[in-house]
Amino acid sequence: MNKKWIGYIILISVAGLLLYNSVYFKKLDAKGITAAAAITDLDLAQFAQQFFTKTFTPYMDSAVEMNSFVQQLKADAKGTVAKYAKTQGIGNTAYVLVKGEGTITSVNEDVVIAAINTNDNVKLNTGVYFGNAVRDVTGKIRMGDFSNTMDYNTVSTTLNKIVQTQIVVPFKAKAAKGTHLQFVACAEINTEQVNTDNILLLPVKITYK
Amino acid sequence: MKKITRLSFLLVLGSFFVFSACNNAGGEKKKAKKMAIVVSTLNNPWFVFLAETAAAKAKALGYETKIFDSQNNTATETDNFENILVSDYCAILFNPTDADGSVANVKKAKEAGVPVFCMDREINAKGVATSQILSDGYSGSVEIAKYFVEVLNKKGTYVELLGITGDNNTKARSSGFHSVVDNYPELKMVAQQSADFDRNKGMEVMESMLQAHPDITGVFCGNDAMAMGAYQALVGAGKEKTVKVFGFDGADDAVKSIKENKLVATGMQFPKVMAEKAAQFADEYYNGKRDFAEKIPVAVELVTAKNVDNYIGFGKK
Repeated sequence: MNKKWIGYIILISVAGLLLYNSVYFKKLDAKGITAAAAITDLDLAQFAQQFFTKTFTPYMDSAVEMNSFVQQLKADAKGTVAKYAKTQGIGNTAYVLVKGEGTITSVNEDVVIAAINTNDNVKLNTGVYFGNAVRDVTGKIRMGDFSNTMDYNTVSTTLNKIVQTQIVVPFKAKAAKGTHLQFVACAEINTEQVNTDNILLLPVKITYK
Repeated sequence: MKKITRLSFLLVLGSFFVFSACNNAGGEKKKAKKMAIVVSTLNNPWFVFLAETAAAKAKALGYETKIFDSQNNTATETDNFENILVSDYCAILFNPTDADGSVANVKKAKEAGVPVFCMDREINAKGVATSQILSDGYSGSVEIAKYFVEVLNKKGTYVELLGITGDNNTKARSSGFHSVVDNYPELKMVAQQSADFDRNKGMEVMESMLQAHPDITGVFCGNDAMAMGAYQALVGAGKEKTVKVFGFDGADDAVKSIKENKLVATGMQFPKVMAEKAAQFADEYYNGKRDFAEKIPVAVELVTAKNVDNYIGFGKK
């Protein structure tokens, strides 16, 4: 009887060992099956427009007050960047969405200057914008979402065009000294050399009062 | 009776330990502490630096290393991978020759259970390489282009020397540059030709471009080797003062040339950062980590006469 049991135990052990090495469990994403993989199949222009409407626009509600942001940045640059800004990969550029309210004091070729509540001035870019602020400021689009980095770059260029045509160009046409406005804008921060005096904002929403 | 009970107990216990051991390793056999470094070419100092830095970091982390030169040839790269996959390497630190052509090699390594960490250049595939640490050439070229527009005062004719056709870096740098410059209608590109990232070819292409377009005022080159070759051609033609040369890479001779007011600007890539991060990731993988960001961009910085003192070849001081 005991010998029979020993036989069963050995048999079960050997069978278990063989079965263990025959069956593997893998996560689905290990095969690259992720939701983001579908992005490359979409038309990139359509993807950028959808992102701007469905993700970026609602995200504007989370913009930090410009005055408060600048004060916090002056007091603790590293902590403030970590709290509000988004970065991609390894580098010194961070992006943050800011908002404010003020009156236009001057209109130049590519910049509108507005005095905001505390009489500080902000510079709003009305020229052509080259950079990745719109793509990167939400932190929702990552390079790894794309098989080919050129698609990732194309999305950035397309988003810049959307902002240019839908927000910047109409704003530039209407900007006049004395106009009171509210704005939401992207700020680009060099985290290695923070300079609060020279932040050029890219407007992404302008409301006139 | 007692002996038999003890024996069966030991057998069950033994089986348990066998299962546990397999489980701990995730079903993977532990490989030797050897990393292979495969680079597209060792005929360019930038890639030599990338390979040697990766090897040095891996050695510092306690691994044996060997550098393989793919000689800008995907067939040679395939041979390198085949040799590596039968030699019990635990990881491959990889600088691909071709964004599409190199995918099959990385897939083979993945099937063999060898993780691949791409450095600088990408492969066009998701879920194949464990992680890709990539130079953000597009954004770097955008910065160079903004400076190019400023230096040329938004007008004039210029030429472009492209890198190897088919390489993603060639496309990224050229596209980033044109995404800015093409917005200025008075800046006109009169010629664009590949010089394969090679200094001698850069000189030859520039010489022939100068014959056809003697009045150009700017040259954008997809890397510093071509920029140095182009500058040499301009010296030969006596035009080095009137034609502004812009490169890309941050190579040692380019940084020195900017200091001497010869080249106007370059895009500083950080091969040390990319190579060391790849070796560090491979070490973490060896020690059990599995969740890596699939692609990590490494920023490229604009180097001009104004800030060149902050830089040395291939990085910051």
